[in-house]
Amino acid sequence: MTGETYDVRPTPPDSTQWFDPRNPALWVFIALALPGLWLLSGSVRIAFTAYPSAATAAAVLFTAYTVPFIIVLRRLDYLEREPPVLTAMAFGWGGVVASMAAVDGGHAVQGMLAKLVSPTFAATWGPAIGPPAIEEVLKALGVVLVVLLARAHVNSTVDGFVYGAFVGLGFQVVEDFVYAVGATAWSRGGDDIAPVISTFIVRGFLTGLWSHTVFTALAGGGIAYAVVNTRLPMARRFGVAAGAVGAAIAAHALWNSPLLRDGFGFGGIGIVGALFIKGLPVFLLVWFLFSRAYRTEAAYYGEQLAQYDGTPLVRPGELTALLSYREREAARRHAQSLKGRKGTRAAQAVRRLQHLQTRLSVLSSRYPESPKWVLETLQNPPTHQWLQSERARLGGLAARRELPPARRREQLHRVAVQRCVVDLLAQRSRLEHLDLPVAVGTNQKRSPMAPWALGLAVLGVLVPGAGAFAIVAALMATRGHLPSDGLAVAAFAVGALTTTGWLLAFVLLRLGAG
Amino acid sequence: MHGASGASPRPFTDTFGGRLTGSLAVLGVVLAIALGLPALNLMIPGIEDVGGARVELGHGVWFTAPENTSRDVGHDRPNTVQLTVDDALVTATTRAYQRSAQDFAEAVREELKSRPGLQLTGSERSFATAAGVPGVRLEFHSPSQEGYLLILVHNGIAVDVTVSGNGRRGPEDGTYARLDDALATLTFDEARP
Repeated sequence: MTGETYDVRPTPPDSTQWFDPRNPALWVFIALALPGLWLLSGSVRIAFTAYPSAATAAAVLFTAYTVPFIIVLRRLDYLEREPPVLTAMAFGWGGVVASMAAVDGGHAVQGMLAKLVSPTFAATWGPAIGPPAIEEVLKALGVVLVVLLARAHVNSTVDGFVYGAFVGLGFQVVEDFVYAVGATAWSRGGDDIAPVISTFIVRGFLTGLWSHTVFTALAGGGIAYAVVNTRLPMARRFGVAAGAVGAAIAAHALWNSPLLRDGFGFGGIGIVGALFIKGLPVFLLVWFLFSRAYRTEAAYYGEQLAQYDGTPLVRPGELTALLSYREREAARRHAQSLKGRKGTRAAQAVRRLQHLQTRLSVLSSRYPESPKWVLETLQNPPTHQWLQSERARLGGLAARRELPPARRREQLHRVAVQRCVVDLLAQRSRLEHLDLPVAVGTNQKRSPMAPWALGLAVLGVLVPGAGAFAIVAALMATRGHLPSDGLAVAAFAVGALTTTGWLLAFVLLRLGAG
Repeated sequence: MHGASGASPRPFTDTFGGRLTGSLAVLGVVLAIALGLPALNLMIPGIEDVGGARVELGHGVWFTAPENTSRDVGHDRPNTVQLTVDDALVTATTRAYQRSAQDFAEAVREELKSRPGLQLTGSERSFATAAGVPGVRLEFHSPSQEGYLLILVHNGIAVDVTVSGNGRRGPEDGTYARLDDALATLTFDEARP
C-alpha cells in the first residue's frame, strides 16, 4: 500500500442487502412512487385513448431512445457497476416521483411570479426560474434516497454521477413523452404523429444530450462526493453537494432562459447554434468532472488489482489497458483483428477477461482476505480438468446452508473470489490457445479519413443522408475492417443511429400522412 | 487495503435514526413542492378587476370583458388567460392554426371522448363576432359542471374559449347572455400572425 487515500469507499463485507423492510427510505420511496404512478398512469391512459397512434409512436420512439443512454451509462460505470435494481429505482424516481411532483409546483411558482412581479415577467423568465429549481431539487432527492436506501453501494463520486444520470434519464423520457403527445393535442389536427416526430427530433437529437440526464448527473456527483469523503470537513462536503445541485439548477435555468432564443437572427441554423452554445459547455463540464472522478476510481481499483500483477490473472500491460476505456477497447479491437472466427472468439475472451479482472478488483476491495484466497487458488496448476472440477466444487460450496451465518458469509465471499480467479484462469487459457497471451491493444496508425467520417456522422443529426455517407467513409477509412479504429467505430455508430432515426421519422411521417 | 482509511465515525446514513430523519426530510421536501407551493400560490392575492376592459388573449386577439369580470394572473399561461365572470370560469387559449374551425372542433370532440365523465351534449350552435368571424359552439356537461366551448379560426389564428359553471347547473342564463355579448367583441389583429 502506498498510504495514498482515495474518495472511494468499498461496500463493507458485512453490508446488508439494500432491500431492507426496516429501512424507512424504502417506505418513503413506495409512499411517493404509488401516487406518482397513479397520476402518471392516468395521463398515459388519456394519451393512449385520445391519440392512440401518436401516443404509441411517442412511447416506441422514446423507449428506444433510452436504450443507447443506458448502454453508455453502463459502460461508463464499468469498474464497479451499480445494482440494476437500484439504477431502476433511480430511473423510477425521476420518471414517476420527480416528474409528477414537479407539475403543480412548477405552475405554482409561475403563478407566484406573475402575482409578485408581473405576468409579463412570469411569461418570459418563469420557465428559467421555477422549473429548474423545482425539478433539479426533486431529482437530486432521488440520489439522496438511493444513498439512504443503500449507502454501501454509493462507493465513489462516479456512482453519484451514474445514479443521478439514471434519475435524470427517467425524468427526461417521461417529460419527452408528455411533450410529444402534448404537441399532438396542441396541434388540434387529430391523432397525428407528425408533432411527435418533430418533438423527437428536437428533444431527442438536438437537445437530448445536455438535458435532465446531464444536469442530474452533475448533482448526483456532488452528493456522492459528500457521502463518500467522510474524512473531509462537513462544510466542504456540504458545500460541494450544494454547489453541484446549484450548478445543475443554473445550467437548467440557462437552458430554459430566453437568452439567444432568436438564434442571433440567423433563423433555424442560428437557433441550432444557440442550442449548442447553451448546452455544450454544460455537457463538457460534466464530462470533465466525471473523467476526474473516474480516474480517481480507476486508480483505486487499479491498486487493488496491482497486487496480482505478473500472475496469470493480470499480465504486464493489462492493468493499464483495463483502467482506460480507450485502452480497453483497443485491446478488444486488437483481439478482433485476428483472422476469421478466431478474431471474434478472441475479442469475446478479452471482454470476458477484462470483466473478470474488474470483478476481482472490486471483490478485493470489499474482502481484505482476498489476496490470501487468490494465492491459495493460484497454487494449483490451471489445467483444463482442474479448472472444471474446481468450478463445480465451488458451485457446490456456494449452495451449502448448514453453516452458521458468519461462517457462511465468509465462505460466500471466499467462493466468490476463488470462482472469479478460476474463471479468469479459464479465460487466460482460452486466450493462450488463440495465440493471444496478453490482452492489450497496439498503437495502430489512424486513418486520416476517420475524423472526417465522424464529422459527417455528427452532421447527420441535422442533415438527412449525411449519416449514410459517414458509414461509407468509416468503412473506407478502415478498409472494411471497422474494429481496427475506434474513431471509425464511433462514426459508424453515430452514422447508423442518425440514419435509422431519419429513416424512422420518414416512415412514421409517411404512415401518419396515410 | 481500503483507500478510505482512518477511524471515521459511523456515517449518519448508516444508522436507523439517520435514515429515518433523512427519509422524512426527503418526504417533507417533495410534499412541500407538490402540495405546499400550490397552497402558497393560492394564498397570494393575484386577482384584478378587468370588467369593461380590453383584454388580450394572445396572438393579437382581444375582447372586451363584461362587467364583474376578474382575472387571476396566477393562472395565466403563455397564450392562455383565465377569467371569472360572475359564477362562470372562462379560459381562453390562442394558437397558430392553419385548418378550419370545424377541424378544430372535430379534434376537440375526439379528445373529449377520452375524458371520463365529460360528455358533449351534441348541441352545436353557430356563433359570429361583431366583425363577422364565424365560430363553432359545443356544449358539454359532466357530473360536476356544465358549459360550452367556443372555437373561432381566423387569419391563421385559433381561439378556443371554455366557459364552465362552478356548479352542476352551469352558469346562470344572465351570465351566458352577457358572455355571448362580450365574446362577440373578439377582434383579430389582421396584420398577424
